[in-house]
Amino acid sequence: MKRLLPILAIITCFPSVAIALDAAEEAVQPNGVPRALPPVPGSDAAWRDARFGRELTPARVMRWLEKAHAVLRETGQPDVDILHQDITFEIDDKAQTVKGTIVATLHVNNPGVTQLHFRAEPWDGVLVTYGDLEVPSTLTEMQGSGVIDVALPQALTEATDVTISVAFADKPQCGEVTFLLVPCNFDDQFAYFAFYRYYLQPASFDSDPFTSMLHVRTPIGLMAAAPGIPSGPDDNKDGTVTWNFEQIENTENAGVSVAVYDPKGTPAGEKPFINVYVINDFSDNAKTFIDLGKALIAFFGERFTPFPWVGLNYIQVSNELGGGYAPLGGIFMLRDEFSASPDLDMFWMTGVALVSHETAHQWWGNLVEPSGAANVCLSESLAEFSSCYYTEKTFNSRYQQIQNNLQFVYGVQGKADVPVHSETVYYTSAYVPIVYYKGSIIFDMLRFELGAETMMKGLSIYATTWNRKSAKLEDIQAAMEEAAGQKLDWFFKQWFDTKGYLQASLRATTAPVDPKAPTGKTKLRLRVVQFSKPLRRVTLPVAVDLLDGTTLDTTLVIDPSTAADPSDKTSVTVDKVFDQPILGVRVDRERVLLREWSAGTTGDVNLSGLTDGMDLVDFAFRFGRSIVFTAGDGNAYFHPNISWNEIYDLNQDGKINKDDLPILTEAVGTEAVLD
Amino acid sequence: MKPLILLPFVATVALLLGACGGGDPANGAASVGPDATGAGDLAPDSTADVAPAPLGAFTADAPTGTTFVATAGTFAPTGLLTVDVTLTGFKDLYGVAGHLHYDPAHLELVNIEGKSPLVEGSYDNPTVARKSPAGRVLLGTARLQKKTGKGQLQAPTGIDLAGTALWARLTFKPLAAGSSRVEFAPGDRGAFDSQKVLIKAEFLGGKVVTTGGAN
Repeated sequence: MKRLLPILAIITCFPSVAIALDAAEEAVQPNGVPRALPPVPGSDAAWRDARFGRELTPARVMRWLEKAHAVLRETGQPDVDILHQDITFEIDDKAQTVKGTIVATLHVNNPGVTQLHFRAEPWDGVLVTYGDLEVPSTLTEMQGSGVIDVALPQALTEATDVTISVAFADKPQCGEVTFLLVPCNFDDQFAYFAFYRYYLQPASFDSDPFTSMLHVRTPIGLMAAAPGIPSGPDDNKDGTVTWNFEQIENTENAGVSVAVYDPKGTPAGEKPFINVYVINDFSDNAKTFIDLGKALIAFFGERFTPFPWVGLNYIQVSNELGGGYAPLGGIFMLRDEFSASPDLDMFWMTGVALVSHETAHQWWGNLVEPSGAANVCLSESLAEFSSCYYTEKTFNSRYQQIQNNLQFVYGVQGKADVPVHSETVYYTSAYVPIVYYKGSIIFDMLRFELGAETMMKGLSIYATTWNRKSAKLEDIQAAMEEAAGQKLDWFFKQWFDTKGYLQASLRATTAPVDPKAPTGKTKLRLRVVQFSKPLRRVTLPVAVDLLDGTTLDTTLVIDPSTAADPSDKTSVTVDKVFDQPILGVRVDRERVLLREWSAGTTGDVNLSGLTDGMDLVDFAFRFGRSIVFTAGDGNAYFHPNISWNEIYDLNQDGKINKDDLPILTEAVGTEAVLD
Repeated sequence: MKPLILLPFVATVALLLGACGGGDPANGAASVGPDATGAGDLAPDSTADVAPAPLGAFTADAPTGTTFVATAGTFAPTGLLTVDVTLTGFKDLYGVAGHLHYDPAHLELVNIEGKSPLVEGSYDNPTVARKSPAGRVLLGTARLQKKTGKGQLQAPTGIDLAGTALWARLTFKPLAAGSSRVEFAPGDRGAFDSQKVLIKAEFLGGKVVTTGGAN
């Protein structure tokens, strides 16, 4: 029960926003590759900048958060658990006001409880009643949130359930970004959106999931949408209507939106149901999203566990969500995401990537919640991994993984980089590249290490074991170990608990096995010299181009514990024999690993052991690739070009161009020596 | 000048080169034809005012197909052997490379001249041609797409060689009388189309026979 609120664990950012995250760092990385674009207005980066200034560091954020928590925890004792909230919520879009009543059922844990404390919004006009009695209460605004302190007329009886009612009225300040999100807005088509500002939470920031019944009263013409089982509308005497959403699962991740919706859904009785709440302009695309939702539920359901809820509502909002927000049984996404259709190739791919990420959150973040901030990877990294896996299978493309990979490797350096599995990861300016991108690629590397079948078996064990519970990283490690039948300490420690990625030089030789009696058999000797710490054990995907024009895909294990020189484990050499002469070797051509290569033998980009004309030919096929582009402002920025391979970037300026050519041609004739 | 030695008539190279046709000089390709034969006509005599007879003969391997890398050798009156490495019959050629081996005890490589047989319009065509130890010349040439203005790189296109194009010209100094081969070794050669698919092509060498060393 004791854990930090995981609401941030189910929010997705656009890649374009993510690119922007590190602009506060120096403009140019040590290797000369320019850093990212400045923050997009309204993005989480812009929000962080506004709140913390440009000198944001994880330590600074932690200090701020610890302070906030300390204040809240002084008064936020877990004397009661929230079991259920029956919420009536009324929108007046003309007056741009909201008012509501929350009837909360509480279970009393401790004897002698005479004070209650809840975290809520800094509402106006809070009125608390206990039984039929109005009781004294105060609402204190604190760090952008509100704490309601309630004084009870008598001590509550331990181990009983009690009911308390909180009424409020408010004119929300919708322009303020809170926890990455603009919480609400009023415009012609989208009247209101809120992701947590209408129910009670423990004042301590600790988790306390509850069931709920939400009743949203709107003027005629507007419709409410929320996670849960929808019913209504019910007509009210005052001419308004009420929309109902029953949440039968325990959760504190919720949201509600009110707009001029024209919803579409699966036929009545179909299980699980899917509803798509879009405004009229987008209703032609609703069926596309219903079909996509079905496909995703089937895909993930076959691999993880069957879809755990009664249904899923995809809800269009106009707020800046940085992509999407996925509480239990509902997914909120920005308006234009619903424009995606299969006719728009890249837009569709990007759209599917987002929808699949948010849908995967039904398992990762909702079915199994991450226990505390350090384990946010169990929500975001797993959801992004699942999305990548889906798009890879659907589009036969590793586009998403490679972009994620590059955005971490080239987008995060210096103080912003912290381990994925660390208490500070929530608060680094590189939160998205580390948790979403690096984290997802770590799980993708695990899939490569174990094989897809074993990986999915492990995820299924994990989802089943931790169904409706909170899990830690060690729990998914245990599930994977059970599936794989092997210990995986080395993998989890070297990737989740350390920052950075694998940086290494590659040097190879190729030679006939028996030069005196040539049979064609050729020995590849590959030496990997790591210059990043910690030294990592990796299984290298290696594509060997053979004389007959075929390519043989194989793997080579680089394990520092097998280094020839025990005093210098940075250098590991492995041999493998092939039946034919070798034209060249490509290591990790599909960019499975979080890595940055350089050619250990200058110019020997094809790792044949000799810098020669074949390297020039290989170079020609990569010529013109770049991860740097010049924007309209004349400055150079990073761009995650999926065809990028840094081994060809001989001068390491982020561009494979004419400036690299002299380095290669001058090096022609250089032979690798690997004794 | 050393005494000239009469040589047997060798027609092989002439026959081969006669089939090759000419390249486009503007593209860096050499014009080669029957007159460029390295075959030594029978020298009528050994008088000093007659052009000296070559010190040897180069017998090129004959192609069996229509797409090949060929070598053709000619002996100069000075005794130096010029070997032209040419490309013939290639379609959509994007890059080609290989190691040309020779016997350093028999031939001394004195000059290498790389050409640009794949240059065209929006493409540059760097060539590497470098001597490496132990009797080997490292050859490679490839197309590099030029960027035009702010435009993106286009899908790569190779070049169709209408005839024969000169890739490199090597000059050897025979060191002694003897016989050896100039040839591409398997495993170190390949030609690729614009999709990086290996083109089926022959890499042809030739036999060098010398009657003595050149000055």
